[in-house]
Amino acid sequence: MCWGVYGKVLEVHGERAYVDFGGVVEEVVSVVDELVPGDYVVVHAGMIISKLSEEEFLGSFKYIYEMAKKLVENGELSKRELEKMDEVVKRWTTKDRW
Amino acid sequence: MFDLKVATDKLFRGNRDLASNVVKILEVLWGKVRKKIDKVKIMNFCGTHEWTTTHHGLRSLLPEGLELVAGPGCPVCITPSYYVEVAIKLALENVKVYTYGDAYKLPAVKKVDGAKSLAEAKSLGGNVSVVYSLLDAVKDARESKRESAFFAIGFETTYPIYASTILKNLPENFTFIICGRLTPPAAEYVVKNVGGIDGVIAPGHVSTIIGGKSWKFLAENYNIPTVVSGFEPMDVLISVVEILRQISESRAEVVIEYTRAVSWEGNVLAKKMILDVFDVCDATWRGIGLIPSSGYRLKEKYMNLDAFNVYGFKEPNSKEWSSDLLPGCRCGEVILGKIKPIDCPLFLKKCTPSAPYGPCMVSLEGTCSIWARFGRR
Ligand code: SF4
Repeated sequence: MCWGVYGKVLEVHGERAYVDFGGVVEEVVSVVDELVPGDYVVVHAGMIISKLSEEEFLGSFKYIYEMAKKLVENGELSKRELEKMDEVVKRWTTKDRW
Repeated sequence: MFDLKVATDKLFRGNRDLASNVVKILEVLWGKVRKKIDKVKIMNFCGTHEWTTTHHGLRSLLPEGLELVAGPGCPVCITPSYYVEVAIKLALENVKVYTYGDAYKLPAVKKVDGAKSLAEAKSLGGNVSVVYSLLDAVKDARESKRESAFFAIGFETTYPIYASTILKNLPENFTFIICGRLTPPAAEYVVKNVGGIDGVIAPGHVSTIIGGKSWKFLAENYNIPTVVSGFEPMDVLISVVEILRQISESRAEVVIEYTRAVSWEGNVLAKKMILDVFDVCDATWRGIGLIPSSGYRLKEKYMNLDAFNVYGFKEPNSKEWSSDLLPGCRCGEVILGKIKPIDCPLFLKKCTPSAPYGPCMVSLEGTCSIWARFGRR
């Protein structure tokens, strides 16, 4: 019941929208503001409950990366760990590689 | 091309390197926490978090002494038996009862005219229809013109769709069995009455509606680090890291980890819709009892949509309410994080996912059902 499925908005008609769930298209209700085609959304029990934010997408990843840097500075985590994460950062912050 | 779905899978689910980084960080923080306390108990409130934790075997990555326990965040598990009994009765009296698949097999404590669940009612000729969404039910009821009742279980995540549909025009033959519940009062109940919780992983999708700020009381009044978390394995691990960090620094605050979907204010539009249609009332939770201000009730002007009102049922008051678990079922303790499913003698014996005896074995988000499907990982 708390299950949410990610999908991409195809069409918006007032409070109804068509959402693509990886090939399966469903009509759903929306309770979010300013919905436009192309938005990624979380759908729960036939309703869009939230838009997924592209800017915030890396939020928690950045948090853990910053923490790793701090721990390395304090000598509490090995540099090798950070190098591994740097790789991930490089890969994931270059959008066209996603 | 940028695809948030693919990106989520790759970064938050399938990235082993990153997972091992996070676990290393977690271990460093655990070392600091251990200088202060031996054991830490974190409650993941939501059934979907329990699913992520168990399905992906996250417990096996955690150091000994760091425990993740499930909470009361499964709406099917906590829906009191009384509502199931009303739904069965209506179905057998030929009112068409619509239900989410999750609640179809939910057992009541007593048989109503030979049926203990909506599934059994259907096999006895009762009028039951399993739907994916409320919209399907409304459409069907409009076409069939039969008297209908929607079994409206759910938390704050599910209630906006009820509210928005009620604010539109519904067919005259449509009613609701309202048994919605609010999650923060239940979390407060657990930390107050059960205790021993050092950190809370707050429900991510509920919080898309109610906002991160709804959990402030846990940090401010109970000094419990609280993280609103997403549902991928990496989300949960990062949330555990944040809780350990706060404990190691002797701080408690609310942090949103699930920033890609949750804001501090929540979904203002959805919250307003809910308040336009429902009042908040005291309500019972199966296996727990009465929790103040933890339920929704239709406002007076919508009483014509209330199945209890239309068909003449009365909700039991707190005095009449008695624990509604079958003999031997220990769901009440499971959902409060007091015991694990394997501590129940009926687990995978008399009670299995294909023949659930207690309510926590029914839904995919029920703790017993999750442990039965994926093992203790
Ligand atoms: S195993 Fe079954 S009977 Fe035991 S607590 Fe879980 S749901 Fe209840």
